[in-house]
Amino acid sequence: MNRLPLAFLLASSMLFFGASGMYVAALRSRRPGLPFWAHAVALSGWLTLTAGGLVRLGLWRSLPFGAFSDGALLLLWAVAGGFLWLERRYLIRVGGALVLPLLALGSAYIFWRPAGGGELLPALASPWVTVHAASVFAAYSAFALAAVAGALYLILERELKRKQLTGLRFSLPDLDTLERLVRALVVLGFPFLTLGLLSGAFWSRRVWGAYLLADPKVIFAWITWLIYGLQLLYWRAAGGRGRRTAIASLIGLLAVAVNYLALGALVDTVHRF
Amino acid sequence: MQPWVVGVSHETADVSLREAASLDAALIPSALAELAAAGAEEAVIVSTCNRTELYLVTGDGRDAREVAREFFARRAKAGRETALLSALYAHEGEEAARHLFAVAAGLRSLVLGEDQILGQVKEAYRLAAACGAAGPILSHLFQRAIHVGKRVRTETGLGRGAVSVSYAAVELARKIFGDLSGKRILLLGAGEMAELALKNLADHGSLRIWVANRTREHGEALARAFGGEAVAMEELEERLAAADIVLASTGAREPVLTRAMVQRAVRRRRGRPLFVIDIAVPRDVDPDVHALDGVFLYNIDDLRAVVEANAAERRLHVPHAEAIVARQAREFGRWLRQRLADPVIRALRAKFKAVADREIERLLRRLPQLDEKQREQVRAVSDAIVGKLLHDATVALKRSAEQGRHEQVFQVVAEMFSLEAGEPPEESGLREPKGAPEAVRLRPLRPGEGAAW
Repeated sequence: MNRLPLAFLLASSMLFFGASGMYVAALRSRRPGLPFWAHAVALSGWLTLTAGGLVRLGLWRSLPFGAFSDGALLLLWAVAGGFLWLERRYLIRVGGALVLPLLALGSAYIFWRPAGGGELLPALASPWVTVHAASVFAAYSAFALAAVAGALYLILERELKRKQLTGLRFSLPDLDTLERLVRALVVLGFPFLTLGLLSGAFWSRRVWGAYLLADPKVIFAWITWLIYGLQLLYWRAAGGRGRRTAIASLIGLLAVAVNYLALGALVDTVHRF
Repeated sequence: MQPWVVGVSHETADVSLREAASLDAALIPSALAELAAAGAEEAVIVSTCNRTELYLVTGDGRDAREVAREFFARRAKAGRETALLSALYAHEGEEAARHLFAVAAGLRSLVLGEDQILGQVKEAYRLAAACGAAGPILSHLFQRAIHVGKRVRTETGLGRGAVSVSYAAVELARKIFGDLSGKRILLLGAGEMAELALKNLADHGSLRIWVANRTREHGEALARAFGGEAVAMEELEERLAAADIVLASTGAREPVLTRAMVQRAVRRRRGRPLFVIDIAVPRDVDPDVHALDGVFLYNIDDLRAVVEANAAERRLHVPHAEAIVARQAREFGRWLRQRLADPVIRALRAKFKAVADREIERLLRRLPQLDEKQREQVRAVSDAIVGKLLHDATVALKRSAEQGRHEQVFQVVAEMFSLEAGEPPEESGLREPKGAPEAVRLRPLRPGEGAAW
């Protein structure tokens, strides 16, 4: 792999680590400027990542879906950008202590991981692959952010239930807002997941001449789709309020994580990631 | 000239002494006039139920403390003069600034970090300014104080978290629901505390109010008083399923809301949170209700515990707030000391400008071909040169004043530029009660003197 995008990746990974430390420190510290600077550092990390992606795009002249690292980076980029926007919009500063360490570890992992893959096999190249991967990643980022909002909901709900309120609540929005965030993000992610799965199916038919159904990743992806789909149906019936909504968002993300991170390494699959 | 603060507060005087010293807003203009007559060049009066403070700048060798003591002595109740006078505290200069900044930040308030005091400081300054009593020093002092008050509130958590039971209820409601407008509140009984909590809740959005009461007539009277709707006790469960907040304060001996009742309501709520505030003693709501999913039950002790925790949390922010106050007070002290250089700087500038103007006018008389616009340009250039020539000197003079080296420096400057020492005409910016440096003033130019320079 070219060294230039890697340098960007390393820089943004370091910035994410710095921001993580600041967000975590801001939980306990009374320094008023700290959350602001944490946000600024995280944002510069994200911009570095964006710049690296653009350089990568300029060098390869194709959407970067050749390797695990490309896809993971795209996911990282979307989650980071989405979170930073949400943080600003809804003042969920506490979330930074949750999200940024994950982003930092993720980016470091991608950096140190032995570079594999690279270009897609020419036989597989098709606009479908772009649609497929991009939609799945859009869905995964939305689900990841929904789970962040869900986790914050559970934290705040726990404080209110235990009647032991800490200063944490001053950097969290209210339960109602967090709940609406969870719902909105799942509603946003679900169509993307549907599109991603369908486009994957069409693509496989073009390449192999048959719908790819027996692949464990595909099976698990449909399970994930079912989890979120049932959740949406349940909300239609029951309103989608309260703790259950928040817990469901975490279960959904767990399914995504198992599929995305574990399954690829454990079983034989045609998916690179 | 140094600003002084002399006053009494809840820290030094009991309520009867503070009563005597306190001044109604309507009385403040005449009090300011009284202080001016007693020799105060500038005066601002901060009077709240917890403190009455005079901020004074005096001229003509009048001691601000004396002016203030006489002022307070006239107000003391018969036989309590000595008690009031011994309760007075006084701070000068930078210390006075530190005191006012801390007051404005809420650091000296009975309830740490409360924000009414900032409005009261603003109002005190506005009144004094309207009466023409706040001169340059106190204006600067109070503007800085207002700035510090705002900064402490935004940069530290000193004012964060409710510190009264009824506000704690509001804060919790807002942490659960966010915006309160359109929320339905069910009142069970209505004591004084409930009324207060309701009023505070209604400040954050228009509520729909339902009042349930054992006696129909009483309930209807209460509903009218709160602008709500009376609800019969038989309808209670129905309303419980629809309400967002329940505020219970009946005098009943037995729980009015049992776990079974609330559980039935919760099943129909489809996960919507229910915030139950039980401020009745004995309690109106079965404590087990809190264990139900989506129900948050807070009784009076829980709310008090929240208040306690908030107060403790506020105390943690005191060092940071004090640091801001101290830094800003030092900054003000620097400004005060730098002001000592103002008369010298003014005299120097006036002299340079007089010389330059004289020469320029002479030159312009010899150049009749210049039109008015060109003449203005020439004058502007001359002013710019004077300004630039004096820039370093101005900075150096201010620095010397700030560092307390001004006495010798001013003498040298006065000697070098024939500035005369003497009583300045109106602005006695160099007089200080103790060890005041000699004031410096421009000696009037004799005819022809400027040209010979």
